[in-house]
Amino acid sequence: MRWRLMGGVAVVQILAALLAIALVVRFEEKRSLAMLESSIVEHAAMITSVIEAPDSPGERVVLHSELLRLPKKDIFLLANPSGKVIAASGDWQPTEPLSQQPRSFTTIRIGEHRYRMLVERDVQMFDDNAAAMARLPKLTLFYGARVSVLEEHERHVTWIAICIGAAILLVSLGATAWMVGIGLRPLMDLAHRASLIDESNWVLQQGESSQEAEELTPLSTALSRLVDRLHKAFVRERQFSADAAHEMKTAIAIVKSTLQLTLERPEGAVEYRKGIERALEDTERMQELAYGMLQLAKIEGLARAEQSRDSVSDAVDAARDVEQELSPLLASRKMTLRIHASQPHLLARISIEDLHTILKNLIENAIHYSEEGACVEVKLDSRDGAFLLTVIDTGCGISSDALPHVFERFYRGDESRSRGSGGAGLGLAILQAIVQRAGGTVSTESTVGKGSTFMVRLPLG
Amino acid sequence: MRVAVIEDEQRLAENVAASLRETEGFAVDVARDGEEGLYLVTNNSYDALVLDLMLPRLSGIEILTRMRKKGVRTPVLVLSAKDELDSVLSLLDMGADDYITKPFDLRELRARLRALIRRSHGHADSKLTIGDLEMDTAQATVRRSGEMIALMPMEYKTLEYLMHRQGQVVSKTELLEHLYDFNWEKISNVIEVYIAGLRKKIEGESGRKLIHTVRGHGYMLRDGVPD
Repeated sequence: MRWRLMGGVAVVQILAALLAIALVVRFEEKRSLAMLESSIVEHAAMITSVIEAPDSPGERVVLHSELLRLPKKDIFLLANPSGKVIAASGDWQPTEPLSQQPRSFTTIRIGEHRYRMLVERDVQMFDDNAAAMARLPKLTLFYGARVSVLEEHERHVTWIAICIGAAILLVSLGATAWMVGIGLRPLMDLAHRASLIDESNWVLQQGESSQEAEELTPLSTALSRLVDRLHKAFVRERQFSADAAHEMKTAIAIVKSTLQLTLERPEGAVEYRKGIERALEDTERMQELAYGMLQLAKIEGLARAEQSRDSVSDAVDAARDVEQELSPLLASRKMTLRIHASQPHLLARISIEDLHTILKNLIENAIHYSEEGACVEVKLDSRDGAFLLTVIDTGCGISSDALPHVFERFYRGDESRSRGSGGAGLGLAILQAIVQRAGGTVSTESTVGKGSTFMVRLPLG
Repeated sequence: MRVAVIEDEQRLAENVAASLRETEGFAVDVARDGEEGLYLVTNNSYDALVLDLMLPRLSGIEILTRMRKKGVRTPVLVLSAKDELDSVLSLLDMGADDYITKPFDLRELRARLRALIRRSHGHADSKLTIGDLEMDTAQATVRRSGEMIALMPMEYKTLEYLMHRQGQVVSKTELLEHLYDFNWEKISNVIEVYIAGLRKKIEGESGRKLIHTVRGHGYMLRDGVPD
C-alpha cells in the first residue's frame, strides 16, 4: 500500500515536473525569439536611418555603413525594387521567393548557419528633405541574425529548468514519503495491534492517540466487535469440544469399568450375563450421547448454511402424531396427555421434522420428570402474530439455581436432572438450537415440587 | 481401609465402589454430589478419597480446597477427564496426591489408591513388615518366617490396618470406622473376635507377642517381649 501510494504520487509528480519544464522552455523560446526579433527590428531601423536619399534624380542611394554599429555576425542587404543590391554585409543573395508582406520574419539557411531574417519592403525612411524623399525608390531591406545564439540560450534554459525540476522533485518525493509514512502510521499501528490478537489474547488494544486515527475509528470498532464475536464463538466451540470429550471419556470409562468388574467377579453364566446387560445399557447411553452430539452439530451447522424458512407445518396434526407415538410410554406410566388447540389447525413456520422433534422432546421430558399417573398438558395457540406451544407438567420441577442453565449443553448442575436420571444432557440444547434456527424462542418457568412449564414461540405459518 | 468415592456418574461410582469392596476389601462410601462429598470427608475419617472433578453443587476442586483448608490430610486420587498438563499441575498444587484420567483401568485405579494409602502411612512399597511377620499388600498375603499364613478377609483387613499404624495405639472405634462401610451395623465385639483369631494365627506358640492390648484405649502392633 505504502509503495503503491508512493509510486502513484511519484508518477504524478514526475509528469507535473516534465510539463512544467516543457512550459518554461516553450515560454523561454518564445520570449527569446521575440527579443531577437526586436533587436533585429532595432538594427534594421538603424540601417534605414543611415540611408541617404539622392540629392538629385538619377543619383544613387547611398548607405553610410561607416556609421553603423551592428553585431558582427548579423547580415543585411538593401535592394532597390528591380533587385539591384544597393548595400550588403556579405555576398549572399536572397534566393527564395520572399513574402509580399510589407514586413515579415522568416528563418532561412545560409551556408552552415540558420538566420532569423527580417524582410522589410518599402523601407520607411526619414529625411528632412521632402523632395529628396520623393525621389527615393521603394527599397527592400533584409536583416538577419543567427538563430544559433537563440538555440544555445534555449539549451541553457532547458538544462537549468531540468536541474531545478529534478531538485524540486527529489525534495517533494522525500516529503511525500515522509507524509505518507506519518499518514499511514495509525493504520500500521492498527495493523500491529490487530496482529497481536490470537487465541490467547482476544482484545484489540487501544491506540496510543485516538485523535490521530479518527478516520480509523469505524474500522477499529468493527474489528473489535468482530474479534469479540469470534472470541465468544471460539469459547463456545472450545467449551463444547471440552464438554463433549469429557462426556465421551466418562461414557467409555463406565463401559470399561463395567466390563472389568464383570471379569474380576467370580466366573459364572449368571454373573457374566448381568455384566453384559450392564455393559449394554452403558453402550446404549454412549450411543445416545454420540447421536445427540451429532444432531446438535448438524443443527448448528445448518443454521449457518441453507435454511428452509419456507416450510410450514400444522402443529395440531404434529401434536396428535407425537401423542400417538408416545402412547405406549404414557400407558406404561399410567399418564395422560391433554392437547388443547385454540383452532382446529395452527400453522407454524418450521419443518414438520423439527416441529415433531420439539414436541416429542418436551413431552418426553415432562413424562420423565413427572410422577406416575400424572397428567401432561400441551397448549397450542396463536398470540401476537406468533405460534405458541406450551407444555405443562406437574413433576419435580427445576431449582431456581439450575433454571437459567437448563438449555446449556451437558448441563448437570441440578441433581434431579443429572446423570442418575439418564439422558445425555443434550435434549434441551438440541431443542433450543432447532427453535432458534427457525427464528423462535424457548423459555421455561418452574417451581420445585410443583412442576415445570416450557414455552416455545415460533413465527406463524 | 475406608475410602470415599465422590462421583456423580452413578454407574461409574457403583463400579469403582464394587471393585474396591470386592477386590481390596475396602469399606467404601459413595457421594453423588459435591456437597455430600464434602460432608462425608469432613465428618468421617478416610484412608483415601476418589474424587471426580465435575460434580453438581460443588466442584471437585472446591472440595479439595475446602477440605485441605480444614486440615483434612486424607490422600486424594482425582478422576479427571482432562489430561492437559496445566490442569494436572494446578490439581497437584491444590492438594491432590495423584490423578488418573478417564477412561481408566480399574486395576490401575486400585494400585494407585493402595500406593497412596501406603505412603500416607509412611510405607514406600507394598511390603509391610514387623519382626519376622511380612505382609504383601499387592498380593494380599501374610508370611511369618517365610511360612504362608491363611487369614480370613476381615482378619487380613484388621491386620493390614494395624500394620500401617504399627507402634501406635488404634482404638476399636477407629478399627470399626476404617474396616466397615458406614451403612453397616457396628457391632463392637467383632473386633475382639478378629483380634483373638489373628493372635492365634500370627503369634502361634512362639510366645513373641505382636498385638498388644492397651487397656481402655485399644490395640497396638509392636514387636517385643510380652508385657
